[in-house]
Amino acid sequence: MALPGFVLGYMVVYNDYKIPGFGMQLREQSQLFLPAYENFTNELALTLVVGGLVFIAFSKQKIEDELTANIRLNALYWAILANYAMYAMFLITAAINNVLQLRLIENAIEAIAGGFTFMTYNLFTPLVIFMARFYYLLYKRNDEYEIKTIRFLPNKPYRLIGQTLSVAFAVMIIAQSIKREDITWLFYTLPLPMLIWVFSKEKQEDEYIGAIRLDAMQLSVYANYIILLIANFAFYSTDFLFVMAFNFVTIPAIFLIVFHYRLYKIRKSDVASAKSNLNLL
Amino acid sequence: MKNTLRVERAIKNITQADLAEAIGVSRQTINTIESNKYVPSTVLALKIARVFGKPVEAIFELEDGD
Repeated sequence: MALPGFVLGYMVVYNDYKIPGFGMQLREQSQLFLPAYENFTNELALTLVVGGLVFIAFSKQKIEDELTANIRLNALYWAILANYAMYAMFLITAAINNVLQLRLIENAIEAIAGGFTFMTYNLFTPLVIFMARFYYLLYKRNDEYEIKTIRFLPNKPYRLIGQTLSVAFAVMIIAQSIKREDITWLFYTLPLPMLIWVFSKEKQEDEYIGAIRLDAMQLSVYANYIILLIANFAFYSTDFLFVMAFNFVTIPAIFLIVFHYRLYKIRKSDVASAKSNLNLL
Repeated sequence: MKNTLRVERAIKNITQADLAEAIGVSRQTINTIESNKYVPSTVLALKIARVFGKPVEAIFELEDGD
């Protein structure tokens, strides 16, 4: 399913291919950014690619046990980090390019990310990196699995830095978009402080919090792709560009919400049980 | 954490694959535990101990620095 999707996607992105007749009249007249006729070839390609990869990524091993499940979640967390590390590198090169205007870098960026291709890649790169990492950990050695723990940033000062910057960026984005100013650069940088937040430890990080983390990450990746597939059919052309831009922040955003909600619930019930212990005495 | 899984298997004369099948995990998982790289969950540790008919502490042991 993913393979024909990739082939079709490649043709759409690089050769501007459209399946003849696979579209419909959406509006009476063409407006700027709202073409009357919409072809669904690119939607089909994206659905095939993402759907296929999700099926491969989240189908069980022949013998799925607690360790393979653990490795899976580990690889997922790692993949998100790797994906955004690549993204950060891309942003930095683009920023350097903006200042220096070097022909060489400009050509390189054009080659890998001309126009909106980088945004298009981001729709499925987390899944591709995840699969590479997962199968590497499973099959690197013949006889046993490779165990790699995920490293996190220390709680101090990274948690505070991540939170402050994320909130500051979010506030600025909202403020500027109300004033109708350009928020593109702010928005593109927002995922990075969020990632610092995601990867900084709790004050007391333990085994259980680690498990909640992995769980929340899996949930956020699932949610991200469900949202993406729905959006894929609900928005077209220019609207879908907003979806793709939005897609940069959905995974860390959903993760942070789920993770902190779970922690909040645990801490609340913790306070209750601490009280009831006292009552028993 | 260290364990005496390899010794226990030798005493009972069963292979990694036998043990893996008895507790419903993959053989690689048993091997990864035996080489002290993976700390199994309490449930898995209890299942392993039940196969050998011994308490968990007889098979798994804390090390300095755990």
